[in-house]
Amino acid sequence: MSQDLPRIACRLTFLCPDDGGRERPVCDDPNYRPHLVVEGDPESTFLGVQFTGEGTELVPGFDHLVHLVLAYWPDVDYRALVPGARFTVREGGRVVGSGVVVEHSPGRATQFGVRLVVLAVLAHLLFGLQRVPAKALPKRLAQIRDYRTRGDIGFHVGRLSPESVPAVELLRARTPPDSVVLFDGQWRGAMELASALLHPRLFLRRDAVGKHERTAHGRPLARATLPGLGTGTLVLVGDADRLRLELQ
Amino acid sequence: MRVAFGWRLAMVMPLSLVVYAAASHALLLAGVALPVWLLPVALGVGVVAAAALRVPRTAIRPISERGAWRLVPWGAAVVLAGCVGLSWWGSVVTPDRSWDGLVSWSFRAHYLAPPADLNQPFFTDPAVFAHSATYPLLQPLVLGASQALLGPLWGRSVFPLWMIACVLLVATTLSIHGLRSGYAALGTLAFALTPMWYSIGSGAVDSGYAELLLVLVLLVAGCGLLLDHAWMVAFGAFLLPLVKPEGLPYAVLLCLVAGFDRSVRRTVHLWACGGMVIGLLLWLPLRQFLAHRPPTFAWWPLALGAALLVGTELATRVLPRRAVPWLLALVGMAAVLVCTVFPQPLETLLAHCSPGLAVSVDHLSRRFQQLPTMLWGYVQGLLFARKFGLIFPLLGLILLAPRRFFGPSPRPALVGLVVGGVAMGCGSVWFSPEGLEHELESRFDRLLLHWVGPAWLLVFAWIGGLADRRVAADCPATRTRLAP
Repeated sequence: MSQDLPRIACRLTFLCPDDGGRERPVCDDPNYRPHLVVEGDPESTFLGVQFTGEGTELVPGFDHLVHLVLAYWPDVDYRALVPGARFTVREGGRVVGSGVVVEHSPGRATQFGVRLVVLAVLAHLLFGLQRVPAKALPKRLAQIRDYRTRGDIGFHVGRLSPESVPAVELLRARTPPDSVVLFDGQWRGAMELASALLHPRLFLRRDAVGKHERTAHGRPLARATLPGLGTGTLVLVGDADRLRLELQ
Repeated sequence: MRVAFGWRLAMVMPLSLVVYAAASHALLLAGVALPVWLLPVALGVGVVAAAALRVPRTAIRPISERGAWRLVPWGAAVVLAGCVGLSWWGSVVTPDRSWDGLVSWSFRAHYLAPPADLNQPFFTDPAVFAHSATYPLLQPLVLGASQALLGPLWGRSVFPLWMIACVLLVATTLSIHGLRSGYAALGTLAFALTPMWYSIGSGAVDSGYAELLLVLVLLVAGCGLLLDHAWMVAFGAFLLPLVKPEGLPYAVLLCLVAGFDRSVRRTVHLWACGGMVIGLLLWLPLRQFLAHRPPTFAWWPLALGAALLVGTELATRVLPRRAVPWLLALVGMAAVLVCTVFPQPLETLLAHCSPGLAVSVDHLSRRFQQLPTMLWGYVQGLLFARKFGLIFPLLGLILLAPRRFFGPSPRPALVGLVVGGVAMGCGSVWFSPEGLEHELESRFDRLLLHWVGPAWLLVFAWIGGLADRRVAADCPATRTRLAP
């Protein structure tokens, strides 16, 4: 018998003939190959096993300690036969005995494979355990310090293009929260951040409103006086990652 | 008893999400403003439903731990508390610090905070700047409601709560599957210590990205497959299209694997397809509304869901078992043939169905020329220990090793889900309109992160209990008399 096949040790009792058991007692030898069905298995899977003894007679009604080879591994899944699992012994559809698994001995290949996986899992855990205090925590602390120092606009927009920060800060400081900010140019990049940071101001494409409109969607268009440019409706223009303000 | 309680506790969050998603999407479709009490009510219904839900059972009965192994669950609990605490603090200490968390998810959450509906310029006017305008709304809806109730900072507590739900789901599912508590604790810890959860960038628990919610939903589906629990699979299939655009192909994959694995009960497949169809019935009309101009084939995912249900049922019920692989091969060959003979109409059709994907022949041939870079990117992504630890190499080892080492898979459908999902992530690089470098650096890792939960579940369900060589402590004799 291959050492690669898993085995179980179990205590089992065969039913007496009066209880519906076999007429003739079985012998504990490799010629006997019944099926086991684990209690509680919703699918009642038949698990083929092979006895391994040297021909001892298994007296019905008495408890016997026997060793079984899980003969169809790995084609059949025997995971349910863990120590403590209760089962019935079947010959076809007929129940001839019952038992409980005492010990499970995996094959050598399985033992090796599982040890390898457990070692890898331990390596993964050690790696993760050292990373959280050594990397994740200090980096997060530095990031939060940076956020608090620079403010949300400086933190987000400043990382992308520091020269765009004043434009976004001006919009937040000088325009009412319910206003509509016109935008133009590229929308990807800093414009994405600006629109989110300036909530609840609405960002509307410049060409969607007439030149002399003062409102859109019932809300005022953002207006301000810019040094050297005069007073007018503000337009935030995106150019790659940079933002600048224009007057319309 | 404790495991059953833990499993019910873990299911409170997914059930509440299901209730809130169904109610909020239905109200938005009806044009009714979301009431602020909807989230607490959904949570209450989730608690009641979790208490009423049938706890799954399997044939495998775990044996109790002895010696030092008894300490493993306690040690794991301490580490997990620290990790969740760090994420919780990171979530509420400042508003969003990550790009997509700010511009894509929290931004829309502001507009969806109750009392709000979709009749606002942000959703109705295409000239208004709206990032990720056609993305699903579940996370912004939950985040908006939570922030309306708890404030802008403490409202972000939903992220660590989702992490806690993930951790509880992994732990209790592995225990119910029959693993000793020590192994179940190790599996949970391995999932929770995935380095990307605590990075300061995309995908971290406190980043505000939708990756965590998607992982939670995929875990619900994966646990359902492993435990053969139809409700859980249905909840997963229902929520997947409502979380992220990737959720739809994942839901399709879930329905397929549930249909073709004969170790999974029939009802699981039916419920999965049903869940997906209901989710799509709620989401597709809303997406059409958000897209401003409805795409020509806006309802194709629904047709796909129905076709999946009928096709898989026919293939697995009517045809003999041996014919199924041949049928699949035939369908694949027919698809390749159609692509070769009619590339232009197919290109137009796919472009209509998925406007976000680049499906032109030119684009694909360009990607083909970049094949070595792409393959190297895949290998780097899968082996990137600083993001995923060792999960993908481990998964590869278990899948590719001869069967005498690890035996049969505990559930082929779960294998199909994880392998298919990772393959989808690799395949999506082919169809992305973005540059290859950008795709591999900034998106591919997040697509892989989605499968970390189901992958750890699979690894531990596979190896757990295989090497147990112990005498059962609680092993009484079957009869009182021993043989002479």
